[in-house]
This record gives sequence, structure tokens and C-alpha cells, in this order.
Amino acid sequence: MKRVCCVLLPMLPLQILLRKKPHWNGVPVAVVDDDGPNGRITHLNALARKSRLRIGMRQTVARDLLPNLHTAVVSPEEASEVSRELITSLQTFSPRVEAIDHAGAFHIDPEGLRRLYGGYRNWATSIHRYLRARHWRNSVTVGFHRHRALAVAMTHSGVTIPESADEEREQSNKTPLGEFDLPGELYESLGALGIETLGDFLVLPAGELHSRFGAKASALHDSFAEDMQLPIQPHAFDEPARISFQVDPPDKDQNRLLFAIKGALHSLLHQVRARGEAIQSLQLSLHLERAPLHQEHIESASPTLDLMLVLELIRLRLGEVSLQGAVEEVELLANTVRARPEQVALPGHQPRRDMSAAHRALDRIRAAYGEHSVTRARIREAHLPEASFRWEPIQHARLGEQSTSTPVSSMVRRVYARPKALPPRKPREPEAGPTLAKNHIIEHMYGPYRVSGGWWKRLVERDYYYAETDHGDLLWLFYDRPRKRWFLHGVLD
Amino acid sequence: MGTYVPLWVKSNHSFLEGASFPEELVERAHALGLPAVAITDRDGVYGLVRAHMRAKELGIRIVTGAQFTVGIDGNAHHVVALAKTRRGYADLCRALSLGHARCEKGVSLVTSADLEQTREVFFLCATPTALRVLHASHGPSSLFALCARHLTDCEKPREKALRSVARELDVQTVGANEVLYHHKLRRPLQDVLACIRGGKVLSEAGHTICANAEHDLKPTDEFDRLFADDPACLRRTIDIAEQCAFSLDDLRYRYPEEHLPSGRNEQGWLRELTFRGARARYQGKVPGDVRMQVERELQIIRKLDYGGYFLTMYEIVQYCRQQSILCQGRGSAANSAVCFCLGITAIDPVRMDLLFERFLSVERAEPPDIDLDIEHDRREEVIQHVYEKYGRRHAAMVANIFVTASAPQCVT
Repeated sequence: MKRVCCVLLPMLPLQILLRKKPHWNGVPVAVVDDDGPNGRITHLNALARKSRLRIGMRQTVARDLLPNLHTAVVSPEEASEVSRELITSLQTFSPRVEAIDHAGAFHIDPEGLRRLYGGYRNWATSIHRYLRARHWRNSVTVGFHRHRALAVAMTHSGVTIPESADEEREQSNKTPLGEFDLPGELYESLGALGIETLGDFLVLPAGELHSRFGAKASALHDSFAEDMQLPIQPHAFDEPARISFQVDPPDKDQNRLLFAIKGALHSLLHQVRARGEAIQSLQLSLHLERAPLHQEHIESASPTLDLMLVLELIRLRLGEVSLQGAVEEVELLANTVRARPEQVALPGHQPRRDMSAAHRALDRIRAAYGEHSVTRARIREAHLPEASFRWEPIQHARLGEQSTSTPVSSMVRRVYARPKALPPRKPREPEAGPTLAKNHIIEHMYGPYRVSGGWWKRLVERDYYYAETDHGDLLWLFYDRPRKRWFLHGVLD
Repeated sequence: MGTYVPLWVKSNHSFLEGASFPEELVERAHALGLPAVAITDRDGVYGLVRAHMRAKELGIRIVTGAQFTVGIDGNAHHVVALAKTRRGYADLCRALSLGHARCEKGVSLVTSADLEQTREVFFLCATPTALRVLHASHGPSSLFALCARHLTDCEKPREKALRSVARELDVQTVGANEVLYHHKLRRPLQDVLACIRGGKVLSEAGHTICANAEHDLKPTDEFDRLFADDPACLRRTIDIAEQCAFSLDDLRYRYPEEHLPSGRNEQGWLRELTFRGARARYQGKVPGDVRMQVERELQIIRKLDYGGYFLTMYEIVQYCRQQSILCQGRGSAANSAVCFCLGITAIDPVRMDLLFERFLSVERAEPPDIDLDIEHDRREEVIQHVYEKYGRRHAAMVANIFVTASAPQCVT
């Protein structure tokens, strides 16, 4: 069964407002639809809600109840601008992103990315951390049904990945109806009948809903029907893929131009590949010194991401033309189409390695830095992390064996050569927790994983933890029991 | 009162793995206030008797079990089996014997088919594969998913997978760590033992030794903290221990029935053979004091139900006589008039005024021990005869292991 992801930034207009006015954090804040006294409240923060303010209330009434209420308008243009920025950011995680008809909610297609990230959880956690590091409060759900995933995201913070469609149904059924933007009258009518959650609402017979509760209720009911799920309508990439560079000094030599174009073309292809697209055709614009612009349209037989093929087509085309002046600037504009899955495979999955070039490069490094400067890590069987590998000099580079099994996780643990001692803290006990650098706070600790041994030489006793900071960093720490001190041993990314 | 019962405990009878004597494990469990402790040695029940004896003195219960090595799809899986009843203990021992008979000395590997007939036993599976296989043959009622927490980083994903399969199969989980020593101080010894077993030196031991010192018998509060997220799986250890009612005290001596002439019972046949022998020994006239002594001995033999044993020894001696193999009973058996009359020994204990109780007494309640010296170069003939008559499954060679009582004094 195909998965679908929902990213929800709850009360997006309020979040936008608080980002604009960070000094309003900690005071009652409301977003209103108009600056005037009759403007109605559209979003409230928790402090304002505690003071009995409600959405839909007029600004004058709200100010009577709470004189120190801070209000401001977040224009639809502003919200759209932020939404566009968020879509662009989310497109780095999947080429198929759709902004849906619920403020701050986006549907993303996770298919095809599980292998790259080592699982849905890693992928979803990356999105969650990315947004949180940029101070966007968000929840991410990778579910099976578009609207049910949204309903789960409304009530679950962080990352939620239901194991099955049944589990998703169970979780979403608990979502209070108040989370959906229902007209107040409809919400009250349903409440009077004791219908308070989505589960209660969905058991109502669909046929009668429209006549009894109106189109809005019927539409909401229909959107959760199992057989009426629309595919994601991905947001098109706004900007065409393009790249340009200056030629300084201006040059007419075709070989040198081709060499420069090759570098730019590599970057352009990378850009296109990241969008999940391939180049259908290319517009090559050459700005000439004291001569009119020269343009060429180059098109391959089928959409491609093959650098050498495109370069060859450019070479052949330039060989046919005679330029009227030296080239000052080159601009490449790609006309792209959706790529086939095998085309967007990571370059690393397509072994195309020149071993003799690798040997030459290693020889040069050895010549410059000494015979033992080129080393490789050899895995050793040991419990202590720093003993579990050793560096040994190598003479020749060898192609690594590619694993055929699916990677469990794509996270990389970068281990410091020497663990870094963290600032001491009193009392220096593990319960006190580690102290990080200024402005970094640990939000979650996972562990301990205990490693002890070496009693025949020097006793080592460490309690390892994974720590998640408020900046979204994942740290690998340990508490050294004999030394009663915390150390940072690595980071994960 | 403890809040858990350790259900996966290996003594130093799990050779080169366990680092504490069975008595030490029992004493530690008693000191920690645990209501019971299981002894589950690797592929055997070797440490049980010593643990049982010490437990009786301290008033703590022993849960009888063993850690099976089960071969599934070419991989070895550890499964802890705990006997609920006498029948369960018998099945458990039968499966262990099958496993050992299949392998080289010192190794045992049972198949899932070997365990199919094992009833009245709880199985604790530490891997999803073993759980699925045993679920297919035993169902969920006698099966538990064993969640072990030694604070290593590979355990969490393993436990997650195990719990997922357990949920799918409707099998309950139980929390138990693999105990290899009674106290953390024994960790160095356990490392050394593991290195000897793995043929490695400590500095190169790698994963041959354990990652940390978490294989000790833990106090209840520490174990509670370890399983704070699932206290029910600890309570289940107590339920399991309560249901495992079998004790080694339930076992009693039961000699296999001898092949008897039709219409005779064991005791009657022994009496007939003894007096037939007595008449031969005393040329047809059995003296009164001899008759009295024989009657007294037969009475004790009947009371202790050892008649079959005397008949077996008589049969072996008869075979030797028929085959002209020199054989002679020796040791305390020479104190028995019955043995003399049966031709097992050659000394008349009545005439020599020897004390029968040195050989057998009701008060001592120890099984009799009749030593036979057999002509050394024809001993094999007798051994083969015993195997042939009683069957390979009912006859075994016995070896003695000498233990130096004060080992530390030997080190200078």
C-alpha cells in the first residue's frame, strides 16, 4: 500500500506573526483578519486561549476581556509567500509536494525515498528536524490516506508513522472535530448530538449529511472516504533550472569554452536531478563581446541526465557555428521533464570510477605528505568505539564492495578522534546531565548503552547516549563513570 | 519480597561460560530477597543438584530448566525451557539427550521436531524466528517472548522486532537477563572463561567477551528500573515461577524392572535365587544365623526397593561364570549375605562377623554400590553383553571427575 506524508505547521499565521515579532513570545497574541475594531480573531496562542478568548471573537470584545492582548493581521499574501518558501524547502526532500486546503498543511510523496534515507522514519525525522531548526513548529505523519494523515498530524507532535492503515484509522478517529475549520454553527450542531471526534462524525450515514448539515459537512465526510483519495498534485518548480558564468577574459576558443561549460553543466544536472527531473532540451546563450547575443537550442532524443551526452551535443553544435566575437558570459537554461526513476538514481549507484586516476591522485598525496599519509580504516571486533577500527596505510585504492541489502539507516556517525570533554557540572552525576555550549539545550536523551571493560589494562566504564538538541542536532555523548565527567564522542547527520 | 524471578541463569556448570557456582547464585538470590531462582545451564541440567541442595538449606525455590540450542534453518537459537512438572522435566531431559546424541562431545543441538513432544514446559524465546517455530508446534500458552536488557545498543531494535512478532502471535513477553555470575565482581573471571572458550587473549577478545558487566544477578529495584516501561513482563516471571512447581525432591529412585521368569515378582525371584545359592554355599544345610541374616537383608532390600539392582548384578556375574570370565565382587558388598549367596562376593559375612549396615541401611537411604572386579582383558565382552541385554539407551559408562577441594592453596 502506498504511503503519503502530511507535514503540518499548526496555526501557521500565528507562527508567522511570532517570527516577525519574537518579543511577543510569552504574551497573549491573536491574529485578526482586520486591524479595525470589528476585525475577528482567526488564531490565538495558548495564553490568549487561557484568558477565555475564542476564535471568531471581535477584536473589541477580546480587548475588553484582555486589555494586554497583542493583535496583528497576517495578510494572505504574506501567508502565501511563506507557504511558497516552505514548498521550496520541502521539495529538497521530495519532488512531489502539494499545499492543501488547510493552513500550514502539505502533502508529500515519500515513495522512492525510503531507500535513500534508510526508512520512512529517518526521512520524516529529517523533515521534522529541518523545519524545527528553522523555528517552525511542525508535526510529520507518514500514513496511508491523505486526510487521515492530516488528522493524525493534528493531534500528534513530532514524527508519527502508523504501522498499518488500521492503526492510522484508529489514531485519526480520535481527532477532535474542533481541529477542522468547520463553521461554528455546524460544530455546535454536531456537538449537541454528542459528535465530538472525527470517528464519531465518520460513522454518520453519508447520504443524509448534505441535507441535514450542509455541503461543508458532506465534503468533510467525503474527503475521508477510502475510495475517493486523490493522488498528490505536486507543486511545479517555479524557476527553470538555469546556470550562468562569466568568462574572464572573454574567450573565443571552443575547447576552453567547452571545458568551462562542462563544469557548469555538471552543476545544472545536479540541480535538475534533485528535482526528480531530466533535461529535455537546453538553451545555450552566449553573450559576446561587441556582438549580438548568440543562442542555440539543443535537444536530445530523449530526456537525459547524461553529462557526456549533453556536452557532446554542445560540442557538435558549436563546431558548426562561427562566433562573431569572444564570449563574455555563458548561460544554460534547461527545459526539463519528469525523469524516470532510474535516471534520478544517485550517481554513487552508477559505478563509473577511473581507478588509474585514483591511483595517480593517491601517489601525489603520498609524494607530498609522506609514505604513510594515505590510510584506510579497517574494522576490528571490539566493544569500545575507538578500538573498533584502526587506520592502516594502503598503497592502492580498491573499489569497495557494494552491499545488495537495503541499508538500515542512512545516518552517519562522525566520531571525534579524541572525545571532547564537556564543561563540568555540579553535582557531576549522570542524572545531572551534560552541559552543552551556549544556547544549546538537550531536549531528549536516548540510552544509556553501557560499554565497560579493559580491566586488565585500564578500566573503562562509559554510558553512551544519543542526545537531540533544540537546534535539531543529534549528538553522541557518554558519561565516563570513573572520571565522573561527560564527553562528546561524535555527531550524527 | 522480590518483584521478579531470574529465569535465565547459568552456573559454572555451563562450562567456560558461567562464572559462579550454583550455590553462590542461590545464596545471592536469597540475599536479594528473591522468591525463587531458575537454573538454566547451557544444554544441560548440570548445576541443578548443587543449587537444589543449597536452596533447600536456605528455603528458596529453584525453577528447573535449561538453555537449549535449537537449530532453525541452519542457525542456532537460544531457547530457555522451564519444567512445570515431573513430566516436563522428563521431556526436557529427553530432548537434551537427543541434542547431545546428535552432536560431538560437549555440543548439543536440538531441532524443533525434538521439542514437539515436549509438554508441561515453558519456552522462553529470545528471537522472533524461534518464537514463530515454537508457536507453530506449541501454541501461545506455553510460550513467552524473552526480552533481555543488558544495556547494549543492538538490543533495542531486536526487542522491538521480538515484541512485534509476539503481538502478532498473541504471545506474552517476559523480562529476563542472561545471568552469568552472581555478582559484578565476577565479570573478569567470566571474561577469562569466555576467552579460553573462544581461544583468544584478552587484548584481542573483541566480541568474544560481553560488552559490559550487566550479566549479574540484579537487585529487584535495579531490575524494576530496567523494565520500568513494562512492569507486567516482570510480574509474569513470578507467575511462571509459581507454575513451575517441579522440584528435584519429586524424583525418587526407580530401578528398571528386571526380566523375570513368568509368574515371579522381583522380590520373590531374588529370595528364591538367594536361598538356592545359600543351599549351594552351605552344602544343602543353611545355618540358622545365616538364614536369619539373609531374611533381614531381604527385608531391607524389599523396603528400599533395590531388588532389581541385585538381580542385575547377579545376571552379570552369572554371565561371567558361563563365559569363564574371572569376576569378583569387592568393597562393602562383601558385608552382604545376599551377595555372598548370589555368588557376587566370596566372603561369608556371617562367619566373618561383618556388619551389613556398612553396605546398606534404611537410615542412610543411599543406593547400594556393588563393585565388580572383572578380568581386565575380557572386560569389553561383559560391557558388550550389558549393552546387548539392556540396550544402548539403558546402559552407560560412568567416569569420575576429581575436584581439588582447596584449589587456591595449590597456587603458590
